[in-house]
Amino acid sequence: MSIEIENITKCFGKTTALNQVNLTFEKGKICGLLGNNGAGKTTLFRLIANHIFPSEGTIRVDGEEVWDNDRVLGKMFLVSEGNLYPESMKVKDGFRSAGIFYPGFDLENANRLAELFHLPLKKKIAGLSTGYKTIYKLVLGLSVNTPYLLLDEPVLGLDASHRELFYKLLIEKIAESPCTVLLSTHLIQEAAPLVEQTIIIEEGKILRNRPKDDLLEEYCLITGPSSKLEEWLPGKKIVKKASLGGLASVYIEGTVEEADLPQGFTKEKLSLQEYFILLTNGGIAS
Amino acid sequence: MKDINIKAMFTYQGTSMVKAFAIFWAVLFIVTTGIILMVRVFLPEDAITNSQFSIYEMAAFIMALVSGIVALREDLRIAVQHGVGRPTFYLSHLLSALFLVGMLTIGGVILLYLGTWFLTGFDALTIKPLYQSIFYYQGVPKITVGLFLENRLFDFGLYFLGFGLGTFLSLLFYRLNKPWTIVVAIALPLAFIVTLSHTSSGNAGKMPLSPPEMGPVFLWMMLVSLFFLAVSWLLLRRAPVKPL
Amino acid sequence: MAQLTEHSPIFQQIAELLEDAILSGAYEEETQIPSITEFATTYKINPATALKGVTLLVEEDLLYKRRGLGMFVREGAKSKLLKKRREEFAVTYISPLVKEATRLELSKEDVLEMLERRWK
Repeated sequence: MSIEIENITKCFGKTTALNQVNLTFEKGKICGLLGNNGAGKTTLFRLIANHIFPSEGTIRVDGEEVWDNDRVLGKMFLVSEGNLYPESMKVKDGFRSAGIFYPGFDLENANRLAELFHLPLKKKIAGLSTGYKTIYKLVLGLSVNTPYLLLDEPVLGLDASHRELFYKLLIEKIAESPCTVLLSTHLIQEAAPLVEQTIIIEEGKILRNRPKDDLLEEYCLITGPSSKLEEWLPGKKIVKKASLGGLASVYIEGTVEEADLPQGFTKEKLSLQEYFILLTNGGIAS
Repeated sequence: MKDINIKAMFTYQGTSMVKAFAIFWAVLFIVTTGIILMVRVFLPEDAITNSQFSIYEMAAFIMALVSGIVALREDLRIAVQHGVGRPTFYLSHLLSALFLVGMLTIGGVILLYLGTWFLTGFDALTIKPLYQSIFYYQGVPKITVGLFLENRLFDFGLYFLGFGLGTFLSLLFYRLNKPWTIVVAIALPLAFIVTLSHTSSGNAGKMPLSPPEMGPVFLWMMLVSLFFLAVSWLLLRRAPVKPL
Repeated sequence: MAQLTEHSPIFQQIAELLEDAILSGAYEEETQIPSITEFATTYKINPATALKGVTLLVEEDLLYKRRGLGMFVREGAKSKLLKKRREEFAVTYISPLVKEATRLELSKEDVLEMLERRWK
């Protein structure tokens, strides 16, 4: 069960935004969808929420296809860029509407969160700044209590303290009432501690889909004196090299025990961001 | 099979329809009262005129038209944001249409009778239902139950046609790309003007028009509306929903 | 609060930080430790990850759960941890020291002398 993406292809005119994507999001986990701008993250989210239809393939949530399926669509809430609310609608009206459509909506909580963010209840949604438009949607997302929460670049446009607040509230929410969270971002280091299942997408194709800790075992960084490093390298699968004068570093596949390293060498594990950049920029064949 | 969550959608749409109708009716009430007051105040007692006016129906037609356009743009987005599928949304849209058109029809009757009551004893001015203006050009026929129903059928059909047309136009422009939008924006009014001049020239010698068989006319109005609404559904069913 | 590093699994870092707190007496035996939610929000990590770290200590019988209340430090945890850390001391501190000393071309006598001077 959970969200299954089957052979999804989506073309916009001549552009292929998603190409034969196959994926299952694990239930109850925080799934991170990592990719650069234009990789296809937003398109995928909009397909899952049936804002748009695919060119090929299907999407199932808890075993049922999503298309025109109220029961399944009511199980998720999508926070994405762009305003889908009427020009004249005020924040408090928006809260009330959410209550009409989502039986699990917690108005008290929404009001509490609005206060924490200093989100004005009487103001028109369309009149809010970009950051506050996002905050409005985030407050809804954190209060609807649906089994699936889709967050497409949730902290875009938020200042540092609002980002902190959001992460804190998201964690509290998950700890209190667990749900499945799909979170896409290009701010990888911030999201890294939260993410469990890690999906990396590039140009409409899935490059990786593994638990984060497993992903970070794939490569490591060895640093040492250039000449000695050159001697040690043969037999190792090298991904990327760099040097700063007599000091060289190399990303290799797999891992090495510290004890097996020659004198003067150091080994480091990669952070998620370093891994991502290596994967998408470092010339590793996808 | 999908479960439909129509209750929530209709609650949302119905509520906004009620608000819009209330404002519309209040405005029409004020305007009508204003006209009556002005005429009563400024026309001397013994003036011999017999003016008739019917503004409500045309205003209501436009209101229905605009509601059709706006409901489709705004409410569709709300539906999609809140997990309501397009079929359910459209069903709610149709129910809302009937609801709004019903309100407009009843509201028209109330205003007509209120206005007529304000004007009792003052023969210089009469409020005339649109149907009677078109088909009973001169004279004020006796109001029978039959005539009352004919009036109401005409109104209902007219407003429903307006809503259907509004829905259709909204979706048409939503789904067309820019060049086509321009073509349609010019062709549609042009076609309307051509048709109008053709029918009026055809009827030139026939003024006033004789009272039609309201039954078939009502049916014709509803069929045309349903045609617009059916085509609209075809345009809607796979439509992508984007932010404004 | 101490920052988490990026270069080792977070759940392990949580476990280590809990161990340090027990050793230092910050979390006393037979007292309650903060909840999973508190750990998760303080370090901005996934609650499941925080739980994983706590579970490691539960498996080593350093923490236990009291139904309806939360996680408590087991009696004797501190001495258990001391024992474990002492066993790990050679690997964690001595080997790197020897390696670094060799790299700097210090002799054993040099190092012992430094040790004498600095041991208080």
